[in-house]
Amino acid sequence: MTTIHHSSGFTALILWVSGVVALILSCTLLIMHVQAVTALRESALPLVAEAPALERRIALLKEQIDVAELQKALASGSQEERIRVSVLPIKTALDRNLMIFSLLQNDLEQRSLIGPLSPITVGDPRSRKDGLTAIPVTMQWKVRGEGMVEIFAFLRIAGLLTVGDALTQAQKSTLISATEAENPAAIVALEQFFATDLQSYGAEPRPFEEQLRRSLPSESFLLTLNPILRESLLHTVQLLFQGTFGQELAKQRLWPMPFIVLEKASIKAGSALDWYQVDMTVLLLSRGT
Amino acid sequence: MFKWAHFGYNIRKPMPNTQPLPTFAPPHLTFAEILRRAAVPFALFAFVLLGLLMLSWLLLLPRFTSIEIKGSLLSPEQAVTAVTQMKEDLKIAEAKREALLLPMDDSVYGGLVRGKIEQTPLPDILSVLRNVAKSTGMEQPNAIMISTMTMNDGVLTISGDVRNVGLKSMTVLAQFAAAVAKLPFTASMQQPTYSRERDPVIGEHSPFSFRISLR
Repeated sequence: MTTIHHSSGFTALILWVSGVVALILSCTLLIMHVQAVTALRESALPLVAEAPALERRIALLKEQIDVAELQKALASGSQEERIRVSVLPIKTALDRNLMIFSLLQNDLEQRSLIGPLSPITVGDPRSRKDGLTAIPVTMQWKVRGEGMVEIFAFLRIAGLLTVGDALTQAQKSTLISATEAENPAAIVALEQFFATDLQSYGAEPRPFEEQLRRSLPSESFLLTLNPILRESLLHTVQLLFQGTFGQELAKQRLWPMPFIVLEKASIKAGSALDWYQVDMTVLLLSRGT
Repeated sequence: MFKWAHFGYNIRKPMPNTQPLPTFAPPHLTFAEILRRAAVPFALFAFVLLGLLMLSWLLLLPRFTSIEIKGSLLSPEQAVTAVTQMKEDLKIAEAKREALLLPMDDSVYGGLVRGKIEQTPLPDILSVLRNVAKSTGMEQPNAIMISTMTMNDGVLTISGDVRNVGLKSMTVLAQFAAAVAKLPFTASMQQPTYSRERDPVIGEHSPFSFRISLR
């Protein structure tokens, strides 16, 4: 009887110990359940909500990449080639650059927007951090306000090749987003618009703009496109290439223009109203050493 | 000896208190005996709870917390990894698409073009500064005269003077400087030196020259 009593006491002890262990394990499992649900709610669910949208966007981009690659393979006469030959040549063609400045001066003179141009000083070539060579050219203009605006506009445009080059990063991103929202397949039309030769666009913008509008005819896209066309450098490009100077550039085969960078400039109020003295140093860039 | 309390009663006919109430003596249990008797139910409860929780952990939880991504069921951790991977894929695809749309963007030429296009043209800056000068010059629209503006390596130096406002020339100059500092193309500005000079022709005036770092 004593043995039975002892053994049942021992069994009870084992049962209690194993019960406590089982309870501790249960508590741990319960905490793990709570953690799993919390993790799901806090991190996984918000991320997973993005997943379908991400999937759709990746599929869309892949489609666009395929089409753009096909387009690129079919395109002839790469932009790179034009940059190498005309925009950033091996050696700066000084005569070509001086001819461009001379045409600009002539155009401004004919419209009585400019006084006598000072002698143009050409400095020694110097190497730049980006590996290019720069030849500094210093000149002084006595101009009316309108002429001054045109000179600086010309300097901004000199060296640009395509419509895409004349748009800021923000403007290009806005157009890409608007195209994706409207009709992702029309990205090809936008790509063609960006790759349009700047001089051809400036001289006659309508066909290029119409082509893009036909691909994306919706009101919302036009509401995005039209302000960009109006407020970007493209508007200045049209004014330049539809004027005498732009036409002369095309006639004299001076397009594409070499890349010209404004290094420093000083604007002083002239003696007469709306006349200015503009001193500037521009850099003519080339790939040569 | 414990006696059970008498709970039954009848208001109309009270039960005659003739029979003696039943009484019993509860068994005398020691604490050890209680523990011994409770061991089996306790262990049973603990093991059943553990068993149920394990079943839930192994069978139920994965079923209710799995997430479907790209047609396959994933655990939350796997889903987070999958979404992170998808975001990386998206970035790569976007970069590739940009490179095809704007092929020269990453080249030296692309950098030069960006530098040119993102810069505000000097005549536009002059025009904005003149408008600010006009609006700052109190009732005298020609109070602030900008005579020279020089741009060199992203730093703009503006020189001129404040006149026709008598002793307030330095105040007007301070207002002009504050307005210029707030313009969108101004990254930082060096404050001008404030002075008032007397000229026999233009009277009291404050010449100024200050530098602006352009964005």
